[in-house]
This record gives sequence, structure tokens and C-alpha cells, in this order.
Amino acid sequence: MIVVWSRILDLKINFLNLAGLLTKSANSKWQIYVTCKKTWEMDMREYVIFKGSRNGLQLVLDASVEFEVLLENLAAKLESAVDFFSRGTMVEVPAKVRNLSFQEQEELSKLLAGYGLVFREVNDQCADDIAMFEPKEIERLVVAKTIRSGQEIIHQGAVVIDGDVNPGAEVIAGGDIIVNGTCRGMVHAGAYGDIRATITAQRLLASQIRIAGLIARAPDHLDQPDQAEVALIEDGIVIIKTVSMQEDEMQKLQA
Amino acid sequence: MGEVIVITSGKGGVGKTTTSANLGTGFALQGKKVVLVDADIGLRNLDVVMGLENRIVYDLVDVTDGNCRLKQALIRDKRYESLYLLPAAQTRDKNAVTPEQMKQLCDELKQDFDFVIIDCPAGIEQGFKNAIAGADRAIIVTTPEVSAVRDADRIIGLLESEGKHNPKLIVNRIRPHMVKKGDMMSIDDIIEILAIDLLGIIPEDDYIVVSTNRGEPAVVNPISQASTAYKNIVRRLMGENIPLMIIEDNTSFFNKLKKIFNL
Repeated sequence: MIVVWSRILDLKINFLNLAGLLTKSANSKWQIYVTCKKTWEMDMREYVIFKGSRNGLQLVLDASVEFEVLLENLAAKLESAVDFFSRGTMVEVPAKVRNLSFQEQEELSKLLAGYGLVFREVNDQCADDIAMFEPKEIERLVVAKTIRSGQEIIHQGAVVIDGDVNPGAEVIAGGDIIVNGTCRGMVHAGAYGDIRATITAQRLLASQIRIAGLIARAPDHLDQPDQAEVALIEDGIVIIKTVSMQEDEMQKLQA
Repeated sequence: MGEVIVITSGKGGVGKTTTSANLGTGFALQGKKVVLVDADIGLRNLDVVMGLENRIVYDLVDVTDGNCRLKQALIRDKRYESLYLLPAAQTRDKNAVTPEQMKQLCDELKQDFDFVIIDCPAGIEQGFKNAIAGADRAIIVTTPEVSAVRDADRIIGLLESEGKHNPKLIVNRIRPHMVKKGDMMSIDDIIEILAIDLLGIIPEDDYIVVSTNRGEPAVVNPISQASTAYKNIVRRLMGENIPLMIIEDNTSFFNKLKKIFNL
């Protein structure tokens, strides 16, 4: 199930990466890597939600994604909870959030029938179901230790590491990543597609930097930086700047 | 159809990863299409020894889990076009893969490559079972120490019970001056215990440390003694008949003198 989903994602990412390669400036010390983004498990956001209703279950579908993705998402969900659903349960699909074509309804009904569930379209729709898909402000995660090889920090918001990130360690954040120490591992900011996400470290020696769908790998011989650096996407490529440079630019912008 | 070779030892630290990297590179030097598979999930090292760590996007577990296609996970070596690496996952453990999945993976790789070299983890548990599952033949690495030889013996027994017969032996890190003085097991002592065919012997070589830290396999360097030994092993594996190398004793005064004057 994940495969299809990742393929859809890959296509988008590949395009992004390609753009990155084409605009790569000659003095960029990090190389842009034309490849696909890893599909994080958490990337499988809940596009499909089952809720209890008066008549059985209610199926809430996200209106913003393609139908195929929803179908895959739903199939995965049903597969993972085969024993959870009792046969003959009525599944209501509110029509307002997502106008399903006849063919789509047919496919949905067929999929549900495979698990002994009965499809039914209903017209009432509560406002809170729509609100469920609004992105929420997620609190940032502070980790006050060194992240060692094989350890993984995954968080939907920003992540602050008060320590080092060693080689072989991974930090994956939905938002920014700040390392108050030396960063030698793999860091992925904006893992759910936020291209404004940045990575800041006292000493940025990461083997690989990922922001949203872009992957940049360190040159094979990387000199030790003598001051804090920040990685961000500018004009479609990942660039590394010193923090002081970045601050100056921000001030200029504000002035 | 290629051949799947597993490099195993039982004991840790005898040089499985170094041997895998050097044999793989050696085959590539001979113009063969090779893929190195790091089966040491959770303690991956082969990528560092090959100097390819910063290129990893997908790994072996991503392939077996179906997160990506096999071709997406293969990393091409930066020096040789025909050499590839399939890295292990670092944040998972040995149970993330089953022997059946490994066998399937090896069968798939065999279609495209002349040699598939699997770097086996230390131990005899799940990781070992995964690594040997798809192997056509096995190479046992040992050092001239009783502990390493005993572990090698155990491994040979386990391989036999899995139906993998006739493994070949590599004796690594031989120090000839110590063997001469009787402080180290000799090749003959080891062969007597293990009773398997000897594929090659590798002398102790300081250059191995340098090459590991540089991320550049020793076979690339023509001066290193270990490099010559690995190249010989590669040629033997390809069917050539090469006599065992006579390991020079570099530590005696006379030999040091000889080296200085390049004699």
C-alpha cells in the first residue's frame, strides 16, 4: 500500500530535485542529489478516518488529496485492522466534504465489501470533521542528550537537540531542526514537505541534509566549520550559510 | 547468472567487513559487475569503509519492506562504475528481515550482477541466518587466535547443517615474526583444526587502518601487502591458480634496511 503512495510522492519530489540540479550554483559546496525522498511512516497522514456514528461507522475522507491515495490509505487501514470491523457494519460516507463520482463510489463500496462492510452515502456533515484536517501548531520537541548511532528522533514539529547528533543517527522533524552541538548524522527538516524549514547547528558536519523533498549530501572531504551554520532551501537548492550571514540578511530584509 | 558469496566468521573484529570491501573492489578492478550487501542491520559499517555513507537514501530494509525498488537502494561506488553497495538500515535490528526475504533479494541481485558479496554480522543468531540464506558459497574469515578459530569451526558446522558445504578459508592478520617464534598459530595449525580449503592469507598491515578511515579499500593501493593478498584471492575465486603469497617479515632489522634501500 505504501508503495503506491510513495510513488505519487516521488514524482513530485523528483521534479523538485531536478529543478534543484538545474539551478545548482557553481560555488555551492553541497551537492544536490537527484533521488527520491524516503517515505516516512508518519508521512502516511490520516487521510481516512473512521468515526463512530449513530448507524455504525462514519468514514471521513480528506478532500485535499487524490482519490487513489485515499483508496490506498483506506485499504491499508482496513488490512491492518481486519478483525476490528464486525461484518455487516454500515459505513457512512458524508457526501459534502468530498463529492465522489459514481465510479469512485463504486470502487469504495467494492473495497469495503471485501471486508464485510456496507457502504452508504449520507448528506449530513459536521463542521468539525473538516476542521480535523487543518494543520495544527505542534509544540517543538527538546531533546537534551546526544543522539547516537542507530537512534532516531521523529517529531511532527520542530526539534531542538541540546547535544550532538552522531554519525548514523537520524533526526526527522516536520519543522526546523536546531542542534546545539555538533551535527554529524542525518537530519531531515520539513519532512512533510515544508520547504521553509531550516537546519541550524553549532557545527554542521552532517553526512546528509534533507529539507522537504530535497536531499543534499556533504562533499567527501568536509572542512570543520568554525561557526554556527544554517541550511535552508533557496531558489530550489539546499544552501549552507553561517548563522551571522543569515541574520544580517534577515535584518536587511526587515529594514 | 551471478554467484552469491557470504563473508562470515562468527567472531567479531576479524575482518569480515574489510574483506568484503576489498574482495568487492577487487572484482570490480577485474571488470566484474559486483554488489556488496551489508547484512549487518543496526550496526552498519560497510558504507563507511567504502566511503559511501553520505550517499545513502534507501537501505536493505526499505527494499524488503517494499518502500522502494531494489535499484533505488543500490549506491554506485565513487571509484568504480561496476561496483555497487546495498547498505544496511542503521535504526532497525536484525529481525527486520527474514531469511526468505534475503534469499529472494539475493536471487534478484544474481540476475544483474556477476558477484553478490554479503557482509555477514558477527554471531550465530538471526543476522547470521539472514546473511547465509541466499548464499551459493561461503568464505570464512579467521585470525590466528584460538578464539577466532573456535568460532570459525562453529560457523562451518552451522553452514553444513544449512546445506552449505565446502566453505573456503581466509586467514587474516598474520604476523610472520610471531608465527616464527611460535607465539602465534601457524596456517598449518589452523587448517589442521578446521579442515577446509584455504583460499588465501592476509598479512597484518597498518595500511588497513588508514584505508578504513579514509573510506577507500586497500586493494586500490598497489604498495600495500594486504592489497596484493586480496587481489590474489579475487583471482583464485575467478578460477585462476595463484600460489599462496610468501609473507615478508617486515619487522626484522635486515628487512627494514632492505625496505629503506628499496631492494
